[in-house]
Amino acid sequence: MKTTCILCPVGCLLNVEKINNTVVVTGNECPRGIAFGTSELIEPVRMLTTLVKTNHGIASVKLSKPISKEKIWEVKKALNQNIYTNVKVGDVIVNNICLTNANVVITGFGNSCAKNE
Amino acid sequence: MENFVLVIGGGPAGMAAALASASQGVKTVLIERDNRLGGILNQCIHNGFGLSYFHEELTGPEYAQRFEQKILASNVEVMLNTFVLSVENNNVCVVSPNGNQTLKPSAIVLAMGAREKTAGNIQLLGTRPVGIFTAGQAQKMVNHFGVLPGKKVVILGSGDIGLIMARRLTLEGATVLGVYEIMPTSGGLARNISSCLTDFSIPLHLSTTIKKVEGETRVTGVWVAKVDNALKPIADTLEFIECDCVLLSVGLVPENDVVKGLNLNPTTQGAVVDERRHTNLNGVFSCGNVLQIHDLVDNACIEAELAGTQAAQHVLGAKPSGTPFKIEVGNGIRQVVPAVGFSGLGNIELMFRTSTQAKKTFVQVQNKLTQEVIAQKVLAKVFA
Repeated sequence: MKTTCILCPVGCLLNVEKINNTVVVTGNECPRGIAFGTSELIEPVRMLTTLVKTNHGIASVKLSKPISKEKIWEVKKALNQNIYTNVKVGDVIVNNICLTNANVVITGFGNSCAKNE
Repeated sequence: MENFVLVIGGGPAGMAAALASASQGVKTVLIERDNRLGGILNQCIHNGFGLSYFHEELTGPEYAQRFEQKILASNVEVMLNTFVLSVENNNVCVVSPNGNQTLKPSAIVLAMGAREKTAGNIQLLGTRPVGIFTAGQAQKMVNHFGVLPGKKVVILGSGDIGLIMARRLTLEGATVLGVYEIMPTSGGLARNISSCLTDFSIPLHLSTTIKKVEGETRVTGVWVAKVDNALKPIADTLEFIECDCVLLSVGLVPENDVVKGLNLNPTTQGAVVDERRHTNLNGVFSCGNVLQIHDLVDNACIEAELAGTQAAQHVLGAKPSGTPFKIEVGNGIRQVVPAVGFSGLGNIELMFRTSTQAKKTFVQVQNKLTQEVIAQKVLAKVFA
């Protein structure tokens, strides 16, 4: 299969094939592409960066590591259910979200007057 | 009053320039119009920042916070909520909650960044209902205020900001009907096409533009059309797309308006600078997106460190050594910074954009008079 590596701005076009039970990746300009290409064939993973509601307004979050692409919407919906209270940048607000082994971390705050009650 | 360097703009470039200036032992003041430092990064909640500068992949706010912490630990004097009205003859008029002031710095570093091109800039035809935003405006609405700009969205322009917003809006519950790009290739990074469009099954329509917007109070839809080689809409390809929101991701313009008498380079729309990032105005330096649009914030910060250091050196009385020489674009090169080098200042790093995208491109620097090749390099890939 062909896939674009998303690990850095170069975006190498990778060719990923299974040859005799081994995954062979070509087209990568650096070694990181091999791991990426392999995971795209076996189990694609993605980082999720999004927003959560807090009692001080909107906050941006990221995951501590990329998760299975298939779990992205489940995680997003889980985060939409809650208002997180008294959090600051760097706080882990959810551990092992939706059993992905990834944590959810606050990365910043919106600059709004639209605060939650 | 002590001699000081004034940095205008508290985004990543401004912060990096201020830190570099202060590290030279020169008093440094940093002005920012917003109520906090960070600039555009505060609304860029996605990751991918800092790979080369910090050797880590950070989100925009996290990258900004790294610099903010360094600023707080330094003796840079920060003026927030302070808006520059004009820069003339090194008099800087500002307004803040404390009223008006005129600052008289010994050197200035311009780091105001860029603004987005609007519907007016591209002469978008049709009505002007609610629901037309630039991608960055929409990004601020969503990421700062938690407000969607619309429910059914069409995006014009496939540059990175448009691609990032296609993903953001989809994740936050809107439907992105498609990204329309007037050129035959996308202006955005391949990784963004993949992770923002392909991942979410959002179609990319190349060689297609919005011919007209419809709607009286609110956008009701757009007419899109394929374009010919001259980028003119082809009449019988017109198609109506029902939507309630149009996002424009159609280019960035360095925001130099407040500076009187600044010589601008028409290819970059930023100042004409020498290798120290010094402009035509004595003691005025420029860096970051207000000088040239950077694809990577890491490069904007490295450029800013150069400008900040040179601004401080200027205050300390340093002058460039050697004879100046011009640096011009040649075949296939759209823009190059800097425009002037000095023979006594050692190696120069040239930052340039090409006219077309290509793989395996051979780039050469040549002495125009003698035809001697000064430097050459093979680049694996060039983006326009």
